Amino acid sequence: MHMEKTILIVDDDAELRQLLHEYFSERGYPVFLADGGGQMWEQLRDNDIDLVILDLMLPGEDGLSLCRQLSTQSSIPILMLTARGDEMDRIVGLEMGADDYLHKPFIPRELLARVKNILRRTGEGREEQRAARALHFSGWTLDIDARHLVDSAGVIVSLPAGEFRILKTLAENPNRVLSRDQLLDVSSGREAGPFDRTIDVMISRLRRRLRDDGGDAALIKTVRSEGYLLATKVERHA
Amino acid sequence: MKFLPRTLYGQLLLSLCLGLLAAQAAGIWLTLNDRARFGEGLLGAFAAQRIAGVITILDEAEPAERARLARALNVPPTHVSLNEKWEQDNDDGEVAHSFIEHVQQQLDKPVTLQVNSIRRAEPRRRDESLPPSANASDSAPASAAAPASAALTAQSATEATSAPPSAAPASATPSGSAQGNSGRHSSRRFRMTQPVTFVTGQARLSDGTVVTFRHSLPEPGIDWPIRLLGLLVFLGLSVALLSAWAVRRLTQPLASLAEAATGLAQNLERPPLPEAGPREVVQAARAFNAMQRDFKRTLDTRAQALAAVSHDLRMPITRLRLRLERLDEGELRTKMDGDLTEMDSMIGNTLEYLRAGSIVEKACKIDLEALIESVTEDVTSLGATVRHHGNAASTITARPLALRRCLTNLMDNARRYGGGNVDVSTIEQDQLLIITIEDRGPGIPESELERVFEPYVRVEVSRAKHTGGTGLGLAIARAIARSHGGDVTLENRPGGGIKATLRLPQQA
Repeated sequence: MHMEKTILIVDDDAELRQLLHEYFSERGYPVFLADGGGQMWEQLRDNDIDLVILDLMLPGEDGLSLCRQLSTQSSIPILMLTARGDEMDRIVGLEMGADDYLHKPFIPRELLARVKNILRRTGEGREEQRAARALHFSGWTLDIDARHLVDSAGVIVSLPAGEFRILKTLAENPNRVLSRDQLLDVSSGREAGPFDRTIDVMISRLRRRLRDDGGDAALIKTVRSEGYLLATKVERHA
Repeated sequence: MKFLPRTLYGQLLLSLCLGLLAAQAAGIWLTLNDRARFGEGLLGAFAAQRIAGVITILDEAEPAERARLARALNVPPTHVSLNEKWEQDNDDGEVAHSFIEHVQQQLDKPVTLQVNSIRRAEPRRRDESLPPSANASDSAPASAAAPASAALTAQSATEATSAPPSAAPASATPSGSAQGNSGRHSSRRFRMTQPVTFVTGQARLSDGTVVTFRHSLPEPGIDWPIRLLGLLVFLGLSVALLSAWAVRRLTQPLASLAEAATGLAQNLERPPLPEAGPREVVQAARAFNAMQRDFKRTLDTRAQALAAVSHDLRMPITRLRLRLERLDEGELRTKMDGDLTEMDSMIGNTLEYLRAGSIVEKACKIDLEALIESVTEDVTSLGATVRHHGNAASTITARPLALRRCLTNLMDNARRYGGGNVDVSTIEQDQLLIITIEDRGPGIPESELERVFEPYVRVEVSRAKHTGGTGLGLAIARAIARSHGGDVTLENRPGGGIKATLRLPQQA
C-alpha cells in the first residue's frame, strides 16, 4: 500500500503554520510543524518527511542557509516561500537547492498544485526531480524564470505570454505531438472552436522568432490534422 | 554688452587677456620710444660728426683735389657735392640750430654753416619702391623734394656705379657691394619702408667753396625689432595660454557642480564629486556630496518603511487567503478573493516601484523588435489595437525584465486611458533609442503631465479606479528608464490623446 506523503512546514508565524496545517491535513497530507531551524532538524530526525515547505525569512538561521544544508544532507525536496518578492531571492533560493518557490501572499490552491507537482516528480525518480529553469535546444535557451528566449549569441528575444507558454509546453515534451486544443489550453486556458486559428497564428510567429522556415529542417513541425511538435533534442537545466 | 562672454570662464579670461594686452602694449611703447630717442640722439651725433669730418677734409684739401675727394666722400647716408650755389633760404628752426651747433663743435676751425631744410619723408609703398630706382639716378640728387625712398635708392644706385669699391664699407649695406644690383635692392627694401629725415645743409669753406651735403637719417624707432616682437608675442601667448588653463581649472568645478545638481534629481546614485582643487572648491564639493548622501539616506529610509509595510501586509493577506479556503464557495468568497488579489497587486507594484531603480538584474543585449512585438501582443490580448511603426536598432543593451515592465506599463497605460487605439513607433537618434507610444484618449491637463509620474497619483480618481490602475505604472516606468540613463516624458497630442516618449541610450 502506498504511504501518504508527509509535509514539514517551517515558518516562524504560528498562525500561518496552523492555517497551513489545517489546509494540508484536510487534503489528506500528514503535516509536521517547525518554527525554525532547531525544530526543523528535530522533526526531520524523528519523522519520515517527504517535502519541506520552508520560509525564507526565519529568525536566527535564515531559510537560505537551512535550505543549503538540507539539500546537501538529504534528497528531501524543498519548496521555498519567499516574502521579499525580490527576483534575486528566488534565483538564489533555487541555486541553494530549493526545488520550487512561491512568494507570499500565495494563493492556497497554487501552493497545493506545486506541492503535488513536486511530490509527483519525486515519485518518478531523481532525474526530473527539479523543475527545469532553462531549456536548451538547437542553440536556443528558453529561460523559464525570465520568460524569454536567448539566442546563441546571447541576445534576448522576448516572447508574448501566450507564445512563451506554448513554446515551454512544446520544449517540455520534445518530439511529442501536441494537439491544438492542448496548446490552446496552456496558452490561454480556453477550448478551441472549430475554426480557431489562434494556435496556428502563434506557431507561425514563434517560427519567425526562432528563424524557422517551417520546412524539412523545421524546429516546430506541423503534424497534419493532429497538431505540432518540437523536433529537436532538449536539454534541461535546473 | 551682448558680445561679452556669458560664462565665468569667458569673462575671467577676457579681462585677464585684455589687461595683459594693455600691459604689453604699454611696455612695447615704452621700450620702443626709449630706443627711438636713444637711436635718434646717436644717429644725430653720428651725422654731425660725419658732416664735420667731410667739411674738415674738404677744407684742408687742395682745391684741385676737392672734386675727387668729394666723389670719394659721396657715400650714403651723406651725399656731398661741390657744384651747387649757396642757397638763400634756410631753416631757422631750433632743430637746425642745434644741428649746426653739433657740427661746429666737431670742427677744428669754424666754418660758415647753414641748414637749408629738414624734411621728413614717409616711405613709399613697398611695390613702388623698386621700379623707380632703376631710372631715377639723375633726378634724385638734384631734387630735394623727391621722395625719400626713391632718392635713397637712386643714390645707392649711383654710388654702385660711380663710387670706388674701397668706399663700399661705409655703405649701409656692406655686403651689398659684392652683389649685383638686384641683390642690393632687395636688401635695402626693409630700410626703405621706414620714414627718413633728410638734412640738407651747406658749408662755406675757408676759400669760399660751397659744399652741399644732404644727409639722410633713418628713424630708428620705427624699425620694429623682430627679436623684441617675437619675445613679446611668445610672452603674450604663453601667459594667455597659462591663464586660460588656470581659469579653466578654477571654473571647471563650478560647471561640474551645476551638472551634478542638475543630474541629482534623475540619479541619486551618481558618483560623488571629486573633492580636489582649491579649498573653496573642495568645500563646495564636500557639501554637495554630503547633501547627496543625506538625500539618499532620507529616501532610503522612507523606501524601507514602505517596503516593510508592504512586506508585513503580505502575511495577513496570506492568512486571509487560507482562512477563505474554509468558507463555502459563493459570491462573498469570490468578492473577498478579488479584494485580496487587488491588495496583492498594490503591494506587488509598490515593491516593484521601490526596486525599479536598483540594479540587481544584469544588463543583456535584447532583440528590440521581439520585445516590442511581445509587449504589443500582451497588450492586444487585453483588448487593444496596437500599430507598430518604424524600425530602429536591432538590439539594445538593457535589463530585460525591467525594460519589458517599463514598456508594458507605458503601453498598458495607453490602452487603459487612451480608448484602445495605440500607436507605437521607434526611431534611432544619436545613440539614443526613442520609442513613442500614442493613444487617442481625452488626454490630461498640461499641469498634470509631470505630476502623474509621482507614485500613487492618478489624474481622475474615479476613472482610475474604474480602470483598475494602482497609480504606480508611470512611476515604475520612469524609474526604470532613469536607471538605464534614459527618461520617460508625456505630452498631449495636437489631435487629442497622450504621447509618451521613452528615451534610452543604446548602450546602457
